[in-house]
Amino acid sequence: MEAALLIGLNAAWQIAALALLALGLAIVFGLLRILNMAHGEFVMLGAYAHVLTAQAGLPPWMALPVCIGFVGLAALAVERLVVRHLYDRMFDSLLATWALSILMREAVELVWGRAYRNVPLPVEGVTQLGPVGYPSYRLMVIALIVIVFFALWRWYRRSLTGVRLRAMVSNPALARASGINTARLSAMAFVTGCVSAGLAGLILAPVLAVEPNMGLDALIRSFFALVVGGLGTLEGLGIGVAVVGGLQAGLSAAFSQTAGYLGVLILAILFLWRRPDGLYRRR
Amino acid sequence: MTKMLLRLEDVSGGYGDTLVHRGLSLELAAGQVLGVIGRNGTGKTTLAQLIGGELSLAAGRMVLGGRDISSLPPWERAKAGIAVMPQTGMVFDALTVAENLALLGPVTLGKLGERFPHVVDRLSQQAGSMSGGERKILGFVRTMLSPARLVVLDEPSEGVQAENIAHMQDTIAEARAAGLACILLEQNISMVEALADSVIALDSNGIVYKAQGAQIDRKAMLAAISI
Ligand SMILES: Nc1ncnc2c1ncn2[C@@H]1O[C@H](COP(=O)(O)OP(=O)(O)OP(=O)(O)O)[C@@H](O)[C@H]1O
Ligand SMILES: [Mg+2]
Repeated sequence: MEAALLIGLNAAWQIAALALLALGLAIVFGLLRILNMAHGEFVMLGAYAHVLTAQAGLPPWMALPVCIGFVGLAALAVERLVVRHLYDRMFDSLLATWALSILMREAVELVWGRAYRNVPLPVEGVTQLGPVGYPSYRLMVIALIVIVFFALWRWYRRSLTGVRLRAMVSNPALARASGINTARLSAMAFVTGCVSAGLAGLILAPVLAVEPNMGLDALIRSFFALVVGGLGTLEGLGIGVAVVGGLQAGLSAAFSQTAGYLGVLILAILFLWRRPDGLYRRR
Repeated sequence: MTKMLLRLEDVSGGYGDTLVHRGLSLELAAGQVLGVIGRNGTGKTTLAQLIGGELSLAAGRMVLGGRDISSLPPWERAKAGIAVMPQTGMVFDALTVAENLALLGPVTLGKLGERFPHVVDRLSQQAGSMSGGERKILGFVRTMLSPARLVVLDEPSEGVQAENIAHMQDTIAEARAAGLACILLEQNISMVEALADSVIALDSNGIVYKAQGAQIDRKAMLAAISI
């Protein structure tokens, strides 16, 4: 009973962390059809917001606005200078963002060096859930993700901006002819996706190894979740992170961490090979 | 003389280096319908896209209500009062009928709802799952509901049954009486004949036929678009 609860909590944590990581990649791909190869580097920038905040002598909670400002400005610059010219050019945008990812890693290494950074947990301690004690911070992150996903899904379905975004994805030319400024909306979507990646880095920094190359792992795991669930929808993302996160947690519990990674890798390859549209098909 | 709402002055444009139109000029007053006819591939859709701003001008000038709109992006032209119904992709397939209309802001269907009752009956249907004719009708309804001074309709009658074409004609005629300007790009000569205050026929060499009011002649129009 206790063991089952613990496994369940661990799975929920894995899934939540993965959902958080993958959200930004899903937003940018789903709305703009751009596979942002620098996604992981925006996660990394978000994590370094802790370092930046500490260096500026600001209190730790200031890392949140610092992260949004820092990552948001970087994303805005990237959109203006690079991505804006590459909408509708999937391969070019993939190459360009890949080059960008290298640049961002190098820049961060130049400024902050290669060393691993320790980011303390903002909330210490354990919450007792019946017989099992579980880290409070993880429980908070799980709750946050559930709320954010639900709110985002509702907003996308119901709000006027949500309708406009879906209109732009469905028929960009008609969206423009209907008075929708698709250039601004696309820029907004890109920046939102990158800031979401940055916030994932900020929130997960205490449990990740913060260093300039940390983005690669974030990108690959997010990408696997999207491949399994189906690229580009919130529903698909939900299913993908549940399957990939659940599998990884299950295999890790039953065998080892390596078995978990291996299982996810094999699953992703199978999907790319046999079912490139993922589990959730867009109607 | 009436004040012109839209004026195209020596407009050239097309796809990249291939110009479809060279030095095209035309003008249109408020409350007037301009029929544009032409065989397949003579540049009707290209003209619609040039006016809507989806294609940019290679040369020339476009003026709407005294304002130079030549270099405005499509969404600015929409705000300036131009509504385009494209020949294909005239609805948002992934959105419901209700959402397709909601993008226009708060609108009441009114007479359009009586004329095209299936639009009201299918508010929650996904537009992409409608038939070709139904999608044309929804696209037409959207365009006519938008707060525009000028509507550009690219073959609205294509694949639509006679009864509904008649309803479209009534809708356009009423809107014209209320001061709307309309560019009707069509192969359907009867529809053009019924509505147009002036007509131009396009050919690969540009405008090959031009007529106004009582001079508009069915035989001449048919001749202009036959091979
Ligand atoms: N995307 C494009 N790229 C290059 N050339 C194009 C493109 N679209 C159309 N053309 C060319 O431009 C010319 C005019 O095409 P357009 O679609 O404007 O004709 P149309 O009069 O609307 O024809 P239809 O009656 O079939 O709708 C044609 O020769 C066509 O081949
Ligand atoms: Mg055409």
